[in-house]
Amino acid sequence: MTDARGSQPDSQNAAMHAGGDSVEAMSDEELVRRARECPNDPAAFAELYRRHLPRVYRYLLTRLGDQQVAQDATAQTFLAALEGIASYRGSGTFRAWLLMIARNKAADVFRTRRATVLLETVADLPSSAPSPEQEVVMRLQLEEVLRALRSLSPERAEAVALRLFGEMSIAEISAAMEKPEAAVKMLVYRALRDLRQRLGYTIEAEP
Amino acid sequence: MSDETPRDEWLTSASRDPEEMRRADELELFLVAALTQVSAADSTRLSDTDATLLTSPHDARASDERLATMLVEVGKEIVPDADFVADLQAQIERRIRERGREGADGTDGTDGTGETGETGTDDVSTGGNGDRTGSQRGRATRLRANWRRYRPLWAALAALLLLTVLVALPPVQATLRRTLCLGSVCIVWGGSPHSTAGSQVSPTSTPLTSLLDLAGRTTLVQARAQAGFPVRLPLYPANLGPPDYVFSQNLDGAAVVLVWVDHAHPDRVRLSLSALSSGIYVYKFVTQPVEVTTVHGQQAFWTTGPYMVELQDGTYDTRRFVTGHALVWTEGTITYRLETTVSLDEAVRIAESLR
Repeated sequence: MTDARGSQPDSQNAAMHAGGDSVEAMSDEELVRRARECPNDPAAFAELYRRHLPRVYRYLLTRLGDQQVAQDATAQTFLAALEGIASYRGSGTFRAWLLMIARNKAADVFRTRRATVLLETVADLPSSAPSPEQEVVMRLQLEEVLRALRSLSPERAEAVALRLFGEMSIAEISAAMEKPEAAVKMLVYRALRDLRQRLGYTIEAEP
Repeated sequence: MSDETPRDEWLTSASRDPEEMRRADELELFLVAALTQVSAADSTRLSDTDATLLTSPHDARASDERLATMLVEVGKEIVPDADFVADLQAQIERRIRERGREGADGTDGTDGTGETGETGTDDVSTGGNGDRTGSQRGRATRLRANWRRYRPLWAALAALLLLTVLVALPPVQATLRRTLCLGSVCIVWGGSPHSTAGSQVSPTSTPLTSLLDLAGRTTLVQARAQAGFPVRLPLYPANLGPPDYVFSQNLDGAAVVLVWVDHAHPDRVRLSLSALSSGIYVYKFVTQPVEVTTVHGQQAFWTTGPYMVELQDGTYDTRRFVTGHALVWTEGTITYRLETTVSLDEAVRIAESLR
């Protein structure tokens, strides 16, 4: 696999950038404006996609716990954002707007998904040709994290996923979850505490 | 989701614990620093040194911060599959071009400025559902491809989950785990950072019963006929003789396990020698430091028990609790693992006596 995290454009990326002279230097808000003003030019939205894909995918994987489901939700998120970018008024950051779409897509999945998820399918790996030992460790850590996240209360899991994996600010999460910032901080704190206890319990309970 | 976690009703009450609020604020300050540092480095992972610097060792919040650091680090390792990235990118590009054509035909319903007529706040609830058919079609292909690509590792995942069950590994030390691979053997070390290579662990010979659980018991003659590679025996110690038990397994490759019983303690194993052809993955879960040594001048690993051994090929696995030491080395495409209670020097001598 090649690294999907970086900004290295491949041939398709280059095609999407063909219409843009300096999109990489533009802010998110400038890119949104350009995407709205030039709806036939893929360059601006392509840059937004490149910038935010890892964060959106990371959030969705940690919330949904399944690689394929997370990929589907990620695709739906970006396609929804593309279709609805005209409705983005800039009242918050584009990142927060995008993650709220992702959050809604995750909620759709929660409403319809079956009760159990195959643990074996949850792990996704960085694609920069990791060594076998790196893969082993990363899979172990990721699986532990995803499993522990699933044991949290929905609100705590949501708060910690948005904060740590979606990298939203407390203020952004506060707006998204419609809770005071202090409450969001506490949700994150308690989620971390729960995660530590969950992992610790697993270990301490063993012979 | 679990219902065990109490609901956060306090959030709307006046009964907030000031101490808990203070710790929540401190954690947020830490997260700001940790996320900023990682974002600045983008794909660069936090090193253990960085994590240590970010973690105050002087108070109770250190473990929370350590866990947060580990979570941030793990999060940064989550990246979408490159094929998926390319597929979605192409899909977006196609959608934009289709929209452009629709716009040129005057069928997009917009006013030409991209406005959809929606008003009010940012709409995050609507939008296209994507190319579901194509997505679902590609999903099956990706599942198959991913399964083939990662079959040994997915199998390893089950074993690694077992690691958390069998090895006492505090979660705050999760980032300190190290894995070494040599031939068909990967050693996952989950030891304390304060352990040293010089730590001495008194070996105990492995109970014979743990080996007799192995499938594929056979004779040496049959094992040699089935293995597909020369099954060699150690000439040292001179009194060793032929193995008391022989196991032959054919998984993704051949595995032959030779067992010599401690005749002074017939229920204990004196020596066991595993020969693994490529394709077999053995994971050793150890808590003591792994010592690097040589066999015939080639790199070898020396691990001290007790530890778990997992032998698997993706569809079959067996686990054993090993209380002795083990020497792992490779010769050509064959990986050898010698379990014993003797010293490292003696083990190397045995390894180098294979004929």
